[in-house]
Amino acid sequence: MNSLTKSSLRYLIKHPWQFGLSILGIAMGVSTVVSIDIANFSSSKAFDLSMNAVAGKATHQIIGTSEGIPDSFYTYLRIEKGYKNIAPVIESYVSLVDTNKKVFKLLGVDFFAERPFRDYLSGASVSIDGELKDFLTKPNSIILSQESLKSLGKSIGDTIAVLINGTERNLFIAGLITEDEQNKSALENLFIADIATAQELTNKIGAIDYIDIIISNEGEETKINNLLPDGFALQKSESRSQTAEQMLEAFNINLTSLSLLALIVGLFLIYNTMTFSVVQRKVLIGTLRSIGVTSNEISRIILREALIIGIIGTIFGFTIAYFISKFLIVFISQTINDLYYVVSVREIYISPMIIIKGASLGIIATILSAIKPAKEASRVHPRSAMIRSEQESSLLKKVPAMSIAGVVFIVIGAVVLYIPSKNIWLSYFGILPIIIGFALSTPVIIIIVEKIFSPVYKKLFGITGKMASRSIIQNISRTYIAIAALALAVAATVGVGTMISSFRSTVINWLEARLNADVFISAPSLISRRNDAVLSEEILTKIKSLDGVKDINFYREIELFQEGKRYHLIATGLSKRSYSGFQFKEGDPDEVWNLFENGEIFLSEPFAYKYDLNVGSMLSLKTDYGDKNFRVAGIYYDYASDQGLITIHYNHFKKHWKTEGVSGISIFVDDGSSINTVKEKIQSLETNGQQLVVRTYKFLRDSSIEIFDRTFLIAKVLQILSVIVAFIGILSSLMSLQLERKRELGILRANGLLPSQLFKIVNLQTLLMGFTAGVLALPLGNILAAILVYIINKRSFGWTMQFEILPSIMIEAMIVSLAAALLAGIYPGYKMSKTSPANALREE
Amino acid sequence: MKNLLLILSLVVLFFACDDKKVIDLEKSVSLSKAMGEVADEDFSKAVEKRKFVFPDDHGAHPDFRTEWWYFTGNLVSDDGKEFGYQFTIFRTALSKEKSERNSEWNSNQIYMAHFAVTDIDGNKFYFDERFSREGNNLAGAQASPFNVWLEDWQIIQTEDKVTFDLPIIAVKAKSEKAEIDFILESVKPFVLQWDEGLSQKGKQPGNASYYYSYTRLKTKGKIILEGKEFSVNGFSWMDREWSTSALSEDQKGWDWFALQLDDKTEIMYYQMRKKDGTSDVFSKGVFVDETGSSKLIKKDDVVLEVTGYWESPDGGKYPSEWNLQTPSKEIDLKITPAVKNQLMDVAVRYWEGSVKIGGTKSGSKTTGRGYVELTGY
Repeated sequence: MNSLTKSSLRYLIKHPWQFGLSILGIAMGVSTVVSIDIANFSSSKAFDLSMNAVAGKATHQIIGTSEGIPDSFYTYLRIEKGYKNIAPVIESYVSLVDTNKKVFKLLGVDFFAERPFRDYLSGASVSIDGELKDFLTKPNSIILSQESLKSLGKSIGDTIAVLINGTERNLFIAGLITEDEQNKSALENLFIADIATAQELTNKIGAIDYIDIIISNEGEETKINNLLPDGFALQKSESRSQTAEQMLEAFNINLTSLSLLALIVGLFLIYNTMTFSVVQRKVLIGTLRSIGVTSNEISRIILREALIIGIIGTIFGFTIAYFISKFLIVFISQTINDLYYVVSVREIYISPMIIIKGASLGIIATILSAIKPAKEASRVHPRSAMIRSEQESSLLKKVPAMSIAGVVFIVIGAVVLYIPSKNIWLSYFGILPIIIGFALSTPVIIIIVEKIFSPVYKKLFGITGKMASRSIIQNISRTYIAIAALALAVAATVGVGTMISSFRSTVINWLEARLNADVFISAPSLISRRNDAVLSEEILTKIKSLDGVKDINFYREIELFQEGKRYHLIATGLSKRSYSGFQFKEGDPDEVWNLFENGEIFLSEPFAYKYDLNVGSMLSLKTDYGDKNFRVAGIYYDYASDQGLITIHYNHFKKHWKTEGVSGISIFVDDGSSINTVKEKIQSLETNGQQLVVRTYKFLRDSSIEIFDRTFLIAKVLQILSVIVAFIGILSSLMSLQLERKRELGILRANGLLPSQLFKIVNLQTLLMGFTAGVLALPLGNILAAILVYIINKRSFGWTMQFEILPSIMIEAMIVSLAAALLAGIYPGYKMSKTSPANALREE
Repeated sequence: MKNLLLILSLVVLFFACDDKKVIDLEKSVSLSKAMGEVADEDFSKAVEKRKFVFPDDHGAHPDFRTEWWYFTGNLVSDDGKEFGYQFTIFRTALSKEKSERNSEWNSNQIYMAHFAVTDIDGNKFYFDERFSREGNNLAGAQASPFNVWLEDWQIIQTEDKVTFDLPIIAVKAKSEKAEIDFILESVKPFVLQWDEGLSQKGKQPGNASYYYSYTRLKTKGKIILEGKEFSVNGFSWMDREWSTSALSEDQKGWDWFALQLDDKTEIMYYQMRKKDGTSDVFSKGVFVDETGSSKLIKKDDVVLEVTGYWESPDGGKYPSEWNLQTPSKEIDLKITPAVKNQLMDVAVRYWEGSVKIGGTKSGSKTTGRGYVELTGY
């Protein structure tokens, strides 16, 4: 180790605070980005695995009408048409009736048809234990993996209580499958039932969900297509998981975008950290240069330091990310389960891309941010390097140019954002120049704020106040980066916070208009935002005839799989009084309901946006009697689904689809009756074991808002994370800034400044910096929020939202800035005030 | 003669389909326990003699655990090429009674079928197997009209005409490379095996089956092998057996012979092999003359001698040539496989193949064709 390396190491060791904070800053930046990536990747991987487990080796699926495929069609294919590589499947979900309500996938199969399909049911390595006779002949029998059995604390022959479509059933554990490495993940959370049992459990007597099939060539495909009755379709296995992935696309992009925001903050931090570590040592570097160290050697040392800090920070970052992601996964899978489909994420998966991305952020970004300071440091003349005022005056000279560049960047950003496009990445790309523009304008803002506050400070705090405010400008080369980083982090908080609360109040307004009934009834559903369980029409009739029920609304929701797309169709039987709950974006409100009653359809705003449809457009839907075109009568505001909804009148729905049952019922109570009495009457209806979820308006409204809040919980978590990142950054730069003024403050002390006055100077200064950051953050934050509301969300989901400027969020932001700054000043202030002037000046 | 084979196959189906090991019977018995095999007592058993009633007895007897419809035959194409075939549909019950359930798929009856074609001139052997439940009409058996099917592998009554209590039937099966489509008509009355159709398999009472055979059915139709169609003629053999019995603990397997001699007589003989290598007293058979009247063959009535062996690619050693004699040498037959490798490499391996017969009968030369089944090797 040569003496230069030693010197560099000694510097780092001698400054443990700065060294530690630099590493922590980088670690936090890396971990925020990496943990979101891991959480995203793990949830989509968990979904893929469960999809593959179910699809097995099937190349295609034959899907039927909304009622599934009749048993006899399968027999027809086997016997009349001689198809051998086909297998019937029923897929459903069950949840345990115990406290944790864990969800399992129920897969109904015919063992005798399985051999070409699912390895884990028939492969060479599989051993199945237990009473297989029972599996086939005993009602409600299932088999499951050894691991699942263990986790449930059950053994073969036990029963287990579950809820299927809101009905409680006792499943009999007939046997277990011993898992090996290949089938382990496929068998996770899987209950396997005989096809007969599955039909009985899911109430699909006489029908199967789909037929798995292996097709080797296109000729075969055509042949099968020709055999299919109206309303049936042959689709590729991949398209099932593709549609699910499309569903999550916007959700994932938004999560990624939040992580990118954290990334930008992280980058600033790293840049800030590295610049500081160099700037601080300019004097030392000057000394080294003057004793003959070449400029190349200097930049090499600095880059090597950056590499070390980067590597250590990255390693820490990944470690922290691992723990954060475990935490994030819970939120992400909760949201997916609330909004999209049932998935259980247990394992953490890391892809090479995540590692590359995280490591390049941590290491390469660190080195890149060190290049400029390293270059500058090595170029500077040894003598002038030792004079600090040189750096400051050189930056001050650049302020006008920086401000102009800042404005130019902001304009570029605005132009990019203005380009009409559905591409969300382009929108995100437009945010970047705006942020850079703001960062570049920071020095001029600092000067303005200081100009205004210097007299105020002087008046309030006397000479110490003036000294505190002036030194921000004197040290502008360092203060501006710290202020910009803090401002950006706070702005991100304001942006995301404002967006969420704008969205929230939009949704609440909409909910209040839409949920205009007294009592709501549905079956317990595993997906909170959707009713995937069905109530029989008999229950509807029973409720209709109850005393105290004035009016009734009901709807049925089904999914249509159409050429790789997944549509949600809502068939509503609305009473006229509920018409007012719909706000139309397009379509004449006086006309639309007539058209609707005549068989035309409504689209929700996101749906119309996603598929570029307008009033008057024709939309082709796969009915049970083949494809049919429907005219769009109106487009309504709706925030229930980011996938968008198609709404059709129930009477017309019944003409085109054979589906039985309703997904939800809502009723209006007679003026003379009490809501609670009617609610109790409904709850005590005889329903053959079908559980009913009966909710009042207030409860449903509140629980809807709860789901909304849960959805954005992850955004909140990220918001907090980026504040922590920023906070650490601010702490490290302000602390370095103050600690570095040791000598200057020592001189002041020697000249008679009291320790308490010194403490005051340091803290007044950081406070003003925090305030400046707040001043910058508020407009930037609201601009970010507006971009998120009007551009990003609109382009991702097609939602129109009301934008709100929220004083509470802005006050909060200002408090965060001030608190961060204050906290960062306490330790250096305290330390400085305690140091004896002699010690502080000793290096001379 | 296949009851255990059926149970074993199903056990294997559940346990490790692709891992086709020759399963020795000892191990299989414990496997079948794991399958949750219903105790024998629950099913009906062949304890005493019964009156066979047709067409009813052509159909299923679901209260017995196992049952099969077994066809083999030797055929010649118009251009003189020789073929053999085996087509068997097995039924096994998981319980005596079917539980009352809503789903059409609910079944306590499982069907299995084996199908093989031997291309004797081409020295090739094609085989396949199928499994299905009875539910949703995927498989089944009925007496009138006489239909037995496992998906599109079928035995179907084609017309009302009945000869010797058996309707004219079509036998159809198709695998990836081989396909058969025959019309069968019996030319002799059925033969009740052993004691008026009650065929004892072991010492224990009830360890027996009900067993009748049609030993000669005129067969006409087509064989398609790898896309090439042959119009063929010849004779088939049909066995019907149902039971709830199993091999005794000391029994290891069996060698079964169904021989159709060119003098229009037939010989059936099976030898139960014990674990110690000797032949069980329950080995027996039947001799059928040209008019269809039959005579029992007891163990001591014949001497069966293995004169050659064939080693299967996986190392199993199977007898591959036999001498079958009466002690008086009135019948002295040499039996040779038409193709050496006729190994049914399905869920449970066994050898079942077309054989050629030469030798002397009552002093004069005789020839014939037949089928041999070897299990437990």
